[in-house]
Amino acid sequence: MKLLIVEDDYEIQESIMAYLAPEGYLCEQAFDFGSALDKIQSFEYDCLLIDINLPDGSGLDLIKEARRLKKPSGIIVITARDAITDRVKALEFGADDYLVKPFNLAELNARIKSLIRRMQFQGSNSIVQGDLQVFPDSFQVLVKGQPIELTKKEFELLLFFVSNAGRVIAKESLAGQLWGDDSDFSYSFDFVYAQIKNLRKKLREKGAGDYIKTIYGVGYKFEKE
Amino acid sequence: MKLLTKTTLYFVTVSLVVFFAGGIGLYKIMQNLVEHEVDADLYSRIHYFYNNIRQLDSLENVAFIATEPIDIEKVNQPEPATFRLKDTILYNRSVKAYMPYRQLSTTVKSDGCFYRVRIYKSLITSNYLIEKIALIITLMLILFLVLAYVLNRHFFGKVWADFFDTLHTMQEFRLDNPQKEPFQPSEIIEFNQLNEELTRMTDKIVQDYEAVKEFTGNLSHEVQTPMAVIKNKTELLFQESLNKKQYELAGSIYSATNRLSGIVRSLGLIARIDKNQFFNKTDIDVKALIQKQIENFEGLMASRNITLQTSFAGEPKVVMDKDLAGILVTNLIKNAVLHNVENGFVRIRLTLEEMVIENSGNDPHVPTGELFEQFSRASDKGFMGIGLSIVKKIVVHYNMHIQYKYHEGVHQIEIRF
Repeated sequence: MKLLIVEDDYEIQESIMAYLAPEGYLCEQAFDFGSALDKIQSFEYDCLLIDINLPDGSGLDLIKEARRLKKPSGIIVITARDAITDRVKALEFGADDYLVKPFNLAELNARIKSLIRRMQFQGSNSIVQGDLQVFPDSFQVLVKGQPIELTKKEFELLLFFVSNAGRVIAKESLAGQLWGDDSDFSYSFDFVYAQIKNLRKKLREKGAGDYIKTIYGVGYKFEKE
Repeated sequence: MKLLTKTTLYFVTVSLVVFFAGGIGLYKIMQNLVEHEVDADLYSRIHYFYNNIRQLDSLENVAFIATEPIDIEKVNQPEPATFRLKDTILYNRSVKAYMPYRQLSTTVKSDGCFYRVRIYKSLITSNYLIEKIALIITLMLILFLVLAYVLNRHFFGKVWADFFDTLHTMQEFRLDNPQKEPFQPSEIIEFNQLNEELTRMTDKIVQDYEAVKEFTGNLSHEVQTPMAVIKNKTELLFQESLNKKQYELAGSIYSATNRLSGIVRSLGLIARIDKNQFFNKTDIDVKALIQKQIENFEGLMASRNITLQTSFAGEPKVVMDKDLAGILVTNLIKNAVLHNVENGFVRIRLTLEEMVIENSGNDPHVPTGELFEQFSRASDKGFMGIGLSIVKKIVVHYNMHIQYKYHEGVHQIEIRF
C-alpha cells in the first residue's frame, strides 16, 4: 500500500508518518506543490493525502492533475475550516473525502482505511478483529458468526475502534465521531461513556472478548488480538 | 425631554415671572403718578380759592370758580389750618350714581367766621386712564411674549440645525458598516469642534474595531497549525507505553488543546460573521434542519432520559447562509440538550414566524441576556458559553430577534424570523 502525503508543515508530516507507520503502508512525503506534482506524475499511489494550502500552489490543482492522468489513487484532502468553497471544489474535482484542520490522527487513520477498503473491495469487504467481523457498508457485525443488533451510533463507534485497533483513542475523538464535525464547540462525555457501556454490554452478552479497555484520563483502547 | 422643550420651558417660566412682576410694578407707578397729579390739581385749586376769597372777601361769590363740587360749611371752632386729603364717593346727579372722588378739606376764615371748605375732583377719568394704560401694557406684554416665543423657536431651529444634522449622522453610524456620511460644516465654531471630535473618535473606533477583527481572524487561522501539531503529538504520545500518571497528564494536555481549538475556532467564526464573509443566500428549510439535528441528539437525550416534544405549525423558509443556518440550529438544540437535567424535557415549537426552544434546566444565576455574551460561564460543567454568543451573532447578522427567558426551571429561547 503506497501513500503520498502532501503537507507543508514538517511537524504534521512527521506526526502522520509516525501514526500510520504501524499500519505497514509505504509512505512518501511531499512538502510543496512542485515536488508533489512530480511524484504524482511519475508514480502510482493507492492514496493521496493532500493539504489544499501549499506555499507554492493549490492542492486543488494536484487533484485535477491526478484525475487528468487517470491515476487510480484515492484522494483525501485536508482543508482549513473556513475554506468551505475549497472543500466543495475538491470534491467536484474528484477528491473522495476531506478532513478539516486540526484533525485527529485516529480519524485520519480510519478515513484512509475506509477509502482503501472501498477502492479495493467495492463494498463486499469486512474487517475481522478477534471474534468480531464488521461489515462497514451493510452496517452488520458478527460475533463468532452470530449477528448482533447495534444502534447506528454504536456501530459507528465499533467501526472506529476496529479501524484503530491497538491504538489509544482520546474520548474527544470518539465524541467527534458521534456528533460529527463541529462537535468540539462543547462536549458532553457522558454520552460517550453511555454508548461505550452499551456497546461493551452487547458484545459481552454475545460472548465476545472484552476488547475495549479504559485508559484512565485519556479514553479507550481496542485491544488487538 | 427635548432640547427645544427644555429651553422653551425655561424661557416661558422666566418671562412669565418677569412680565408679571414688571406689569404689576408698572401699574403701581402709573397709579401713583395719576394720584399725584390729581392731588396737585386739588392743591392748586385750593390756593386759587384762597386768593379769590381774599380779593372778594365773601364766600358767597366763590361758587363760580368751582367746575367741580365744592362744599362750604360754617364751623364754630377754628380747626388747625391743615390740608387733609382722602378718597370718598359722592352722588352724581347727572349720572344718578355714586362716583369716586378725591377730597381736599381745609378751614378758612372769612368775615370773622370759620368755614370748612371741601373741594373734590372726580377720579372717573383718572381711573379710566389707569385701566386703559394697564390694558395696553398687558396687551403689549402678551404680544411681546408671543413674538419672543415664536422667534425663539425659529432661531432655535436655525441655530441648532447643524447639531441635529450631526446627531442624525451619528444615529446612522454603524460600526459593522462604517460607510458614514461626512459631517456638514457648520457656521458655529462649537459645532464644528464637536464634529471634528466625533470624526476623530469614530475613525479611531472603526480603526480599533477593524484591528481587533483582523487580529481575531488572523489568530484563529494562524494558531490552527501549531494546535494541530500539539494535538497530533499528544495522540502519538498516547501510543507509547505510558504509566497511569503519564496517561493522565497526556490526557489533560489533549483535552485542553481540544477546548482551546474549539474556542479559537468559535472566535474565528464570530470574526468571519463580523467581516461579512457569509454572503451565500439559500432558502433554508428550518423544519428539515431541526429534524436532522434531533436525529443527531436522540441518543444523547435518551441516555439522560430527556423527553422531546415537537410541534411544527408551519414550515418557514428563511433566506440565509446554509452553514450559518446549520450552526444556528445545531447550537440551539445542543444547548437545550446539554444544559438539561436528568429526566428533563426539550420542547421545540416552529411556526411561520418563530422558533421557540424550551428546556428544563438549572437556574443560570445570571441575567439571561448575559448568557449571550462571549465566555459567560453558564454551566456547572464548565462549558464555555460561546455557542450562544455565536447564535446571537448569527441572529443579529440576519436582523432576526432573539429572546432568552428563564422561569422556574424552564429555559426558553425564542427567535422571530
